[in-house]
Amino acid sequence: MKVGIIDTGNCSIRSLEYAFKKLGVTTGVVSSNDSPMDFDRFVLPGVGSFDFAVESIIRRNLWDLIRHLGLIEKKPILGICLGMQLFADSSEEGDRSGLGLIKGKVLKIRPDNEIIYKVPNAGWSHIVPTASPFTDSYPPTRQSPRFYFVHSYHLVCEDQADIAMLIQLDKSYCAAVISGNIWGAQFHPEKSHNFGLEFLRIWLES
Amino acid sequence: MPIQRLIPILLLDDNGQLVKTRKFRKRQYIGDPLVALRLFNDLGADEIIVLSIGDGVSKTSSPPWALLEDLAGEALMPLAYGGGLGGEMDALRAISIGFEKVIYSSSRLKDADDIRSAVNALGSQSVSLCINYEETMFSGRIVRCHKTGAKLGNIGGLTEVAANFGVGEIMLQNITREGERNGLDLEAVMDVSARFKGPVILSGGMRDLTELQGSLKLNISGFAGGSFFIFAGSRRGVLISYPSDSERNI
Repeated sequence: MKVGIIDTGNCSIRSLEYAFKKLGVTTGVVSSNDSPMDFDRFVLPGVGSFDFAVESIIRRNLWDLIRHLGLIEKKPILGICLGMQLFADSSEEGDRSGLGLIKGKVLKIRPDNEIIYKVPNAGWSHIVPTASPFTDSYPPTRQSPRFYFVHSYHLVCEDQADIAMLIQLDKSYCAAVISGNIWGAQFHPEKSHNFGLEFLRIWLES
Repeated sequence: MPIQRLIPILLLDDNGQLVKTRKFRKRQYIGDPLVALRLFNDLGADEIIVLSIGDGVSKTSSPPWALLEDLAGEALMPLAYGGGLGGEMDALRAISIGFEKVIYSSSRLKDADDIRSAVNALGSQSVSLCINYEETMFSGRIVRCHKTGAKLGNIGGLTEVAANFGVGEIMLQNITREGERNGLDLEAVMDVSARFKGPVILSGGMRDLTELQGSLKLNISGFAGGSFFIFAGSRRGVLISYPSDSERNI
């Protein structure tokens, strides 16, 4: 098993490398369309603003490659944080189009009470699993895992069946998606201690 | 709501050593920051703040990138970094080596191009502002430049400026109580939390677990500290610790 981490220029590669290393998985970096591509799976991390990341992906000639891997080759791809949001068709944060790997749009979190429910939502939250394999991995008899979130926007899926985990703030928001070979996590599994390692292990075994 | 965060602060001196201060002065050598980070990894710390404080007076010391990269390479928790950061390029570099957030001091608000460009590149969720303030007998809480001591204004005014610049999080750092373990200034953090839409965390004076448990239901995003996590006992012997989930009631 070898995982390719797609380097968009504004993301943390080393933390992911370390997390996969803890799981005994080899990683490599995909930083342009002529990088070696001998990977079984790919991760698209991302931190920052939507348009800035889109422009960075285009500048590195990664745009068509990611779409090809996801839509044509059907390779398993995991988007993390902004990486998941980039899978959507569009984002309210910017004017650029998203990668279109998941049907949906990204909207700003607008709680009714902004003093109680702070935005950005930054910190650790428990999640509610809503789809397999998470409903099997995190049965109600066990305390739900907690993950580290830092985001001001959330993904709204066109198909509700794509939602795999929810986070409860002022209301429920999408915390993770599964749409065939495309997985996404709004949280940072690589920064969520053993809870995050377990999430990555589930993805690797899917 | 997210779980209230409990955040150890690692202070780095010019030589990349871990130190601890009291009231921003009186430095005590603690040890190797990488060893401390590994221990906090094992203890399941919510987040780590790394602040490079240089020699305490220099205005130009740049971030210790090699050390930061080593720290980020082993962290299984989110990291924030502050100290000597320039604008967009430095902020992006910090993120690309594995930090989730960059922290700018309130003294940088006078010429805020760097903060603006960092917010533009990273999004507000990845940029924090640290407001260093003192408690005074006659003038209340005064925000000061942590290096020159110059008065910068009051907490409310700077909170408003920070919000206008799009900063995503505010860290209030009480200089008067820093390292003293004499209790948290909850009044200040509650006041800012009621004005600022983003998360607000408080640092300085964290006394004990009872104080934290009593603050669990308050509208405070988190508490950061040094002595609380690094020292044991009244003689301040170095012993790194972190409360368990059950001790924190989470």
